Amino acid sequence: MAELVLYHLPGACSRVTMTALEQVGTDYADRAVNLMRGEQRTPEYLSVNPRGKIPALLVDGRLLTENAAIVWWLHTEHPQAGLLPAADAWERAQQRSDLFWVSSVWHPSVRANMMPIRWTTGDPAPVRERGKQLIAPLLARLETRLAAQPWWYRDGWSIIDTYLYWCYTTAEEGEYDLSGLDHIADHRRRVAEHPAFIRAIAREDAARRKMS
Amino acid sequence: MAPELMLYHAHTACSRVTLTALEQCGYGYTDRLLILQKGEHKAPAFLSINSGGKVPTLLVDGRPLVENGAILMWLAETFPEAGLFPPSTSAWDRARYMSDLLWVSSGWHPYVRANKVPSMWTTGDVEPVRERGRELLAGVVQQLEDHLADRPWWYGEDWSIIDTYLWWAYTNAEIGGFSIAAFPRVQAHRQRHEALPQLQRALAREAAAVAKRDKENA
Repeated sequence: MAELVLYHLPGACSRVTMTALEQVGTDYADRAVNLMRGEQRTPEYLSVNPRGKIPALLVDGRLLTENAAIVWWLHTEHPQAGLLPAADAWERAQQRSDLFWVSSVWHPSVRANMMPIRWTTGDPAPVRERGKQLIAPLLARLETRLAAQPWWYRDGWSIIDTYLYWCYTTAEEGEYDLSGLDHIADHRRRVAEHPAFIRAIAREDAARRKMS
Repeated sequence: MAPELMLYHAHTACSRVTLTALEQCGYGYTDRLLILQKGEHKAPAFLSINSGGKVPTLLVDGRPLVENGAILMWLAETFPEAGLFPPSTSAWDRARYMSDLLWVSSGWHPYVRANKVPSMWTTGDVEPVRERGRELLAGVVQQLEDHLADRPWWYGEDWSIIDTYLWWAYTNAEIGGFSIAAFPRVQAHRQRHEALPQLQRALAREAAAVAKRDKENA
């Protein structure tokens, strides 16, 4: 049994990784990295992950970074956990495409809206406004898809649903108004009721109490 | 059954990496260059293929696959003898390759964009976004410089498609005015990389596609 350690921050996209770990049902330790205090740039953390980012997963001391890669690895190790639906080679390529899409398109756009100072040395307001422009068509695509089916994939919940949930709820924290997107509102309720997600939130809450 | 491959790409876009991968695979493909300045990637004809309106898009027997990293992984699976990544037998190795692809696609690429096309990230003054783009680039270019201390290529002794993706990122950073002069190992990596036949074939193919579109539009 591999020893797993997840480096995370409550509320960050590591919430998706944590949900994946909960869904797999394996034991793991979690260590919060307080980005507000710059802990990702301390020598201690850089010795774990030289890129200074979270999430990071140690597997028997070996490092794996990038949310989507960690999720994919967990899925390949635990296919029965249902992180993603069973698939042939072409469908697996499409699943990876979806993971790349959320991490490379949604996430930087959400960041522009939620944390505009990440993208500018100047006034954050026009960056936030641009972030909202970038998010709008992504949400429109999601709303259309969810009009036809309750989850991102027809077969049922997958970790992509949690990843998308993290994106649009984080956009909302950046004051993006989600009202009028009724199918996303329904999706949000369904994702929030998923047992692995509920466990991940509880685990985040415990980590948050230890941080303060 | 041999699949029929067709790549949608654009001049200097990150589809240059996909073209290089296809050239390395040595398997026949057709290509169509989209002129982004004319908004061809947002035209209904292309949106019906890729609703995200992005290049690269690879059609495999007419079915679209999008996102550069996902296309590269599919090519590596389909043409394992091409050596797009070091030989791997474990899911762990493949997850690490995916991690590196994600690092470039979700880190380097948006930073390159902030520096080269800062209007992508703001509705206002572009200069502070460009400046921030350069700060972010300096961080990752330094990480690459450090990584190349004991090796010519990203994974060691042999080229992989990650080297091409990184090459695309830092040369596009340079097009945006970010100087790599202070990074001697990155410069040496660039020289090695630009001597590769698969890159030269990809650039020739891209240039031919540009010339063809110029002629069509003349």
